[in-house]
Amino acid sequence: MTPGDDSHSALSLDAGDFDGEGVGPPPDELFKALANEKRRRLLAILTEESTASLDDLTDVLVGWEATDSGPAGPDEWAKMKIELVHAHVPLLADTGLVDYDESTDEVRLASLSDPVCDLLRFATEYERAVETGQAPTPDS
Amino acid sequence: MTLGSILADVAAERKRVVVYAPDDTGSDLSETLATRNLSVEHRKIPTISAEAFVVVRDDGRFRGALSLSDLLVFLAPPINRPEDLDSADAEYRALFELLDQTVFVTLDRRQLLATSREIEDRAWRTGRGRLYVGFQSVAAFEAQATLYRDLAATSDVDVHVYVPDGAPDGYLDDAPLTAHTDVDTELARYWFVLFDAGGDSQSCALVAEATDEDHYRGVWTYDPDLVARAFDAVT
Repeated sequence: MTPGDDSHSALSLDAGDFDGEGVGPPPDELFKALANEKRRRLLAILTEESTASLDDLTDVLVGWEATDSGPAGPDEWAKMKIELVHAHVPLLADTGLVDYDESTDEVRLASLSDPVCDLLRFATEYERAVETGQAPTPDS
Repeated sequence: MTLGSILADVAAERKRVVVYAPDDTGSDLSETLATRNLSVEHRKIPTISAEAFVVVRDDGRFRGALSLSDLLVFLAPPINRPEDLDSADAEYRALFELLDQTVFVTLDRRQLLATSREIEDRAWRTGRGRLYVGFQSVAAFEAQATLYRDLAATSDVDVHVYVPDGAPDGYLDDAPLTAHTDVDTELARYWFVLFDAGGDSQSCALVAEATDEDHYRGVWTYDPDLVARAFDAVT
């Protein structure tokens, strides 16, 4: 709150809403977080499970990839975990989409505002539509 | 070392398989996988993932992941091992070897025959090594006698057959193979087909015992150590 700055009060109120709990992360950050398949998959898993250990998340991402690229072994698993720990989970945490608890190694979906939830849902629907080649139906 | 102790050891190594599916796909799998000595757990994954997959863990460690459809192809008897597996990388092979070494509980006679044919075929294609085969009856041996005679005569495979009492004397005297007719009762309980390709990845073994007239429990494996143990048990 900046009570002395009358001329911009309307704008600063909007801005205050914008990076506070009201709406969510700045659009560039949010879209950057979604601009990666693995991060979108992490968010999709966490939307389903709400909390998951890093090992479990690694299992799911490696298995998911195996449906496209064939069986995967411990090497692929180790690579995936490193990528999650050093890149994807920190980025999602910095963006405020997930919380990472280092002591338990657990990742949890942050409490998200309705606009962010809507965006995640649209992203999922869009992805499914592209994969199946069918436009999403409004009700399902 | 007996074939029975090999089966018991393999049965004791129970692996955990987690089936991840967006819907009920694979929910009927538990029974199939349980017969392979795998404990099965089901988890739901987001529906944007189109295909179900399976994660194998052993002793709490990740061992491998593959799509459910790949797994089903692999589990269907007879051995449906992709031919290109021999040149595949180690991780890929490790996963299949892990699943190989699981006991099946109920295979019927027809499935065992098909698996035996696969191993015999492998011996033909390799053209060298050792093939040791145990029959539970004279009739079973007679049905295959010509095949083993031909294999011994036309390849460098060292063929040994184990036939229970009652095989006619001199039956195979003219064939370049070794017939053991003094099989003890312990060994005579097992249906076995062991192929050692001489350290090459084609080595494999099938060992099974009858649980009733038409059903068997046993193991097939490509694990060179286990194949070597099976050879030790019969020689």
